[in-house]
Amino acid sequence: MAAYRADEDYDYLYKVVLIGDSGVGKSNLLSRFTRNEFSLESKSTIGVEFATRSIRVEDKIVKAQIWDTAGQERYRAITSAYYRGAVGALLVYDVTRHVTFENVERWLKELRGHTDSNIVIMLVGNKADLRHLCAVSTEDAKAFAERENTFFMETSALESMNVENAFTEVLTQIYHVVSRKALDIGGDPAALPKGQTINVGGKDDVSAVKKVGCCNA
Amino acid sequence: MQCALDFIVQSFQFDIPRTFPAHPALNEDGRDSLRRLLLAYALHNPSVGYCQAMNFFAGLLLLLMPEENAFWTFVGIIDDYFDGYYTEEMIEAQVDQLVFEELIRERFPKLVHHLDYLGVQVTWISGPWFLSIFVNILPWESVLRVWDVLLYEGNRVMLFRTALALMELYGPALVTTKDAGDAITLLQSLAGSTFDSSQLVFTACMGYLTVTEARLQELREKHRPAVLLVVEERSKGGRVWKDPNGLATKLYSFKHDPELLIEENKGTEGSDDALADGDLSYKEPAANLDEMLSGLSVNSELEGRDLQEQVVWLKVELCSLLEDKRSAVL
Repeated sequence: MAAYRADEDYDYLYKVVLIGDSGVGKSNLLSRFTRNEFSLESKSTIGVEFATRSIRVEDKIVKAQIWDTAGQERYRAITSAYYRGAVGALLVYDVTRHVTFENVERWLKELRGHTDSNIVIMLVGNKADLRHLCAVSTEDAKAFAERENTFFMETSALESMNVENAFTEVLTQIYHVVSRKALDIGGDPAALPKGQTINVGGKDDVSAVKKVGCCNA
Repeated sequence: MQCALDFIVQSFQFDIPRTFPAHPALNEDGRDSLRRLLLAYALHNPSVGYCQAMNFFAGLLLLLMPEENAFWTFVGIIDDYFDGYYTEEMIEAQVDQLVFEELIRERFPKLVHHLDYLGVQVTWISGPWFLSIFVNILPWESVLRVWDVLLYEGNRVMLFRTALALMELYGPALVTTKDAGDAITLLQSLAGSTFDSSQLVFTACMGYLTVTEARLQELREKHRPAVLLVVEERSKGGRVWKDPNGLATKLYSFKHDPELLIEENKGTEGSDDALADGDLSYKEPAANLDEMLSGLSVNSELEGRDLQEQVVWLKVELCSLLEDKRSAVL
């Protein structure tokens, strides 16, 4: 169990976005992960909300800045501005509402159109505690995730099931992508943010906003 | 007709229980009122229909007045004071953010410099403030005080003044933050504890008298083309982005050339021409843009575009590239 740490000391800072249709439980996933809270009576997210939490990944402390976005379609023009610089995303649907799964494809397109090609994406089927109401089979979702080359997990923010795992997995994968990228350009992680390699096909290459103090150390 | 009704009801059904949840007045009857108000409005003005955030405004008004009065007040706010804000494209909401960014850069250059350094865009924070008209952002009493002035003045000036006042009040704390997450978290929590509503309203109204509707209109005119252009691009479904011979591809190949990038940066200093997103720290002389434009071989797609539009579009692009670079350097 990763302990909650003081915000001051961390090695990496990763930006992660939570996207998906309205009412799938994005805000509760965020509050469960960052504050271990869940509210059956949560309020609609207007625009975006934000929270952070630091966890340990291998021997490093990774601080996640997580942007929770409004789900309504028309907000996409506004929320896509928040995708900039994101290195990870949790694309959430509601396992009890098939339409939210059908919309995943459009979310994915939107996300890929605004972020770096190396972004780590996890498809998240939330509300998995409502097994008797399940409208999206795990197999379908898994197949979709494989086809689209994303990770996949079913979660329940209410029962605190897999929430920790989902975020930790995304952050760990980001850590690996970033480390690999650092190796690719000569093993000096500090060289990465200088911008010599700007990834083809992606609009952003802010994969690792490494803490300055750490680079210098 | 039933189908259209169902569609509208569906658009807000999830937000009814998520509007001031657990508020005693929003019991079953209260929620029915809320549902009726939102449905009536969506039918009254289909070009807006229902947009998240409106549930909170309707809920707020229903707590203060009878249903019919609440409806007409709601109509006045959305159709008049916030015309173009909550429509499908949300154009005016986006324009206001660019305007606010320009104002904040003008008023608090040091604060913005610090936020730039942390990689925080002011609009990330101010966007939700404006869209929610501070509901759920400020404490309830402060929300009502701000709404009071806003309704009295009958325009959106108070949005800007309040946001500027919040930056004035909390700027000194913000400049001590060490990363983007801390800055945003701090500002969120400080805004949420703005209990001295008198101080807030006083700072907003007396401190920013020069922020007038006329000035805002002027700035909106200036920034609107950039927003319209982006909206247009989006509505084409990103065709330009994907087209191998498209403008975007040319820009990206441009981006990948490090020498050009450096040159471009050198060229960005010492001009008065503010970038389309109001980013004053990165400026570009028109000559440099022209050079860049002429460097791009004009194909049929470009010929169709108005040159002015292209310039604005390129500015937006250049701006985001510079932002990326800035984040990368950080």
